[in-house]
Amino acid sequence: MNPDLSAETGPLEPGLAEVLRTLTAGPAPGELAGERDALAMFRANAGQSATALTTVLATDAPAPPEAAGGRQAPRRLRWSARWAIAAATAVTLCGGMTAAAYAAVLPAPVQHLAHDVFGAVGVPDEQHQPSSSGPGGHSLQPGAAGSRRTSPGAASPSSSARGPAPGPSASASSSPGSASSPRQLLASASASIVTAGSQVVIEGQLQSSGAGVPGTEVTLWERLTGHAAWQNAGNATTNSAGNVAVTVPVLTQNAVFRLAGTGAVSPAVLVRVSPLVSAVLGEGSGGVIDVLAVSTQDAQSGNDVVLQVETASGWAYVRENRLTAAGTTSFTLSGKRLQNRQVRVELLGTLRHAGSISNQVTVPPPG
Amino acid sequence: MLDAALARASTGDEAGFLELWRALQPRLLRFLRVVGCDDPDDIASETWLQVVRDLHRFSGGEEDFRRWLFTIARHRAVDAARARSRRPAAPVAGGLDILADRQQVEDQVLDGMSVQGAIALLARLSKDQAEAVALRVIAGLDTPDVARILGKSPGAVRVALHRGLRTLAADPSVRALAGRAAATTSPFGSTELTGQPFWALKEVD
Repeated sequence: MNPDLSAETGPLEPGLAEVLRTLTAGPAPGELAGERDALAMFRANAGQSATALTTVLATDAPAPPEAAGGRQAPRRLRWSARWAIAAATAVTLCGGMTAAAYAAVLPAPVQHLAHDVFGAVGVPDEQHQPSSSGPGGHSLQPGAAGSRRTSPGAASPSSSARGPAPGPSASASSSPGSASSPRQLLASASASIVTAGSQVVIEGQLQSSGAGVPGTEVTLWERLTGHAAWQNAGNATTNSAGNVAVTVPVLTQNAVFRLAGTGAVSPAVLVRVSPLVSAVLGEGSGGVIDVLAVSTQDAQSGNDVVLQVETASGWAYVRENRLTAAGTTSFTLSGKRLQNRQVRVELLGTLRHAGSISNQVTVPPPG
Repeated sequence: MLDAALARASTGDEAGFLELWRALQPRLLRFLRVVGCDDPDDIASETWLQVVRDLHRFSGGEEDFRRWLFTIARHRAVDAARARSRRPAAPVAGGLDILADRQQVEDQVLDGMSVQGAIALLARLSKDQAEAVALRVIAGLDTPDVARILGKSPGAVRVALHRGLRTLAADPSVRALAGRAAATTSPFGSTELTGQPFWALKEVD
């Protein structure tokens, strides 16, 4: 029981004291039952590298109805499943199952499980066919190994780009197992995290028996996190070394990319988007209270924003607010308590965007 | 007490994290049950995931951590409640509905459902009172922190806390409990009460 509670409330009656003592007693049976799962989750998520994926997985809760395009939102994953996701992320991403799952070559029940677990980062269901729902809207540049030049309109990802679906399709299943000419598509992003509105370049190489395969058309597929559908983001043709690069000119939401070419599908590449967050200090009532106005774009209503103050040991949590529909929120600051201290806010990452830290502001002395 | 564990956990130390989790998970679950979560385990797991994800950026002591943990938990609980309200009503299995009946609550308090019974008592308070008592008592936060989390003034929290505790104290099952706890012998023979509520002794038996 909180030791100073009785100082605040006066002496507690015996029966009430017993109830409160029980509420603060040690673990009851079953309350620590999830310890192993919690530890697995910690192992899978404590590192920075795991953070990116887990951010997606952990918050891949039901997509909002508007984002889901009217489809029924998926059920909330239950607790054990969520821990399993985190644990499986650590284990499986290190193993060969992931590539197989992305390519949809696992047995149907296993593929379905992989889809449930890794759907957020692009693992398809065994029955799922990605929809090439309309133009991708991104420009691309064919050929040009390693090049990142952008040529808007150079190749419209419209009809010509609507080739076979990526990984989920049959073409993926033919890649690893083909005895005649096993092909492999590698893919990487120019950055794993970009500022909202920035471009990202997805580069890849089509290989056959370790050698680059030139002159082959490759399609870039994109899936926004929280959405089920893949959309075509453009085509390019491998150069003499088998390399290919496609530029996505504007990225405003976390997205998963894969390259798909004849007989091969690349692993999924997750690129996260960090919204810009602005913090502006204004004077509140009486000159004693200041108001820190926070605004951002490319974040959603209800996203968590944390006020932080700089201390000798680093940035310390102060309190938390939520964004309004306009992407704003504010914190009242006591100029007396925080005078001459540096404060900032952090927008916490969600399924749709990465976390982001604002500019720093110095709180002036009161008056 | 948990400062060292917190420091270790923030650097990726598993033992440090487990110490934090073992210390706070029971209280987290109790808080979520009091505020009426259908699936407190689910919300708790979401809460810990967010904590772990951002732990390396966390700076502060145990008090700050508890405040952070329960702030996240409450947000997740609110989100879950909103989502639930958008879904068609469905029977809740294993929720506090099974404890709604007053006699059942009394029976569970008096017959050995120690923690669950106490949680059920709190859950019968009004929402404001239950949250104030839960954050103040179960989470162990001070009144200003509770006020910040609930978005209320400290005075309003104190009022809710007082009223909630008064309501609890007046509950017949709690009054009966006081009389039973004052007994010198347990209802299970000659076992001496050792400062524990007698239903805890029954659990041991």
